[in-house]
Amino acid sequence: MQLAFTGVGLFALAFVVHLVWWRIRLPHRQLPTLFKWFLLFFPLGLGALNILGFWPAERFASPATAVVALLYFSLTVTYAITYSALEADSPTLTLIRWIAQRPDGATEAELASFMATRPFIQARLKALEVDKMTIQRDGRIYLNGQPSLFFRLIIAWRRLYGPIDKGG
Amino acid sequence: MFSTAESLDAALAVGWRSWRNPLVVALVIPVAGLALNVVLQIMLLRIAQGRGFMRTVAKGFFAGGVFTFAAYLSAGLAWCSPGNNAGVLPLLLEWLCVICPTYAGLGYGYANFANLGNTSIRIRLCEELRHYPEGRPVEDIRQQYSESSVLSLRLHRLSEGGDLVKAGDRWRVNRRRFVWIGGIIFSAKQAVLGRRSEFDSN
Repeated sequence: MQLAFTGVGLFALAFVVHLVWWRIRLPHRQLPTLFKWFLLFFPLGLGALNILGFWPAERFASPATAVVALLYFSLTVTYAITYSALEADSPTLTLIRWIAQRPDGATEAELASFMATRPFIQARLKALEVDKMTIQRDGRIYLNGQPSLFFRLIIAWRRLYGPIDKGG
Repeated sequence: MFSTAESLDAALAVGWRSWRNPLVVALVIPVAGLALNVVLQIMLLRIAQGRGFMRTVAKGFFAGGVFTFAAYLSAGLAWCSPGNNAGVLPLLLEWLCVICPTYAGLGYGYANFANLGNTSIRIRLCEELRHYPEGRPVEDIRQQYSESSVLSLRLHRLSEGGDLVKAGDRWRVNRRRFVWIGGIIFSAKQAVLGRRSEFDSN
């Protein structure tokens, strides 16, 4: 169980530290900070295990480290991608939960007035600016240079199965 | 297999390039499962001409999982066969503890990555702005991505997936899967961020 414990244990430690950090002070750019923290913690954690005598130095460049890294990385991806749903409300989940709270359902007018209290577009435009992906100047919005690798990956993947919807 | 330092050292001694090294097998199987998941999901979506997105994601995840488990069983049984490493069959459980969470993590990550590409407002805004090096008026963007278009697109997607139904002039929940997912997400948000919604004032 050594490999599974090492991968899961390192992830759990990184998670606990992140939780304490976030409750003390939320970072300005949450998701990039979170991702960098988890990536940085892996070599730090393995180094600490080595110092404590749990992970011999000769294992560092071995398949054992690769297996632990893959397990740790898959857990990190799982959490980071879930975190994007924590950081920003999902319009879909917000909407369906609001309807679910009404046994008689809701008319489109009621849904529209509820959605008006949730300015998703304004929030996303602001988030793009905070993440330095767009700039607003003189009433116009511009892309701020090349989008991040993550964005380019999503867009490239998205094109594999058809055109990207516009609006909404 | 990995229960003692000796067995781990024995596996390490086989070396990186040997397929007989159980560590290399444990490394390859979940990644191969993920590859199958991705290819199958894209193929299914193309065949369905973009309809039933969530169903294709679920089918891809399931197929990749079945492959991962089957590959794990056959590789594990071959590794532990009589005359090879007989007597270590119980240790296959340890292998399972590495391969299954790794595939589940990668598969879940892909499902959400795929969903993000399909539904994220930010992704679509960026993609659109890429075609306007001279920028776009903020008002145009606000009109195109209005709250009413957010609503109508979500109602369309949710009714297409059978999650919402319209009876008369009222929308009702038909399948509760997103209600449960939403409950988990909003509770996790409370635990991590100390608030249930980004629009909460506190």
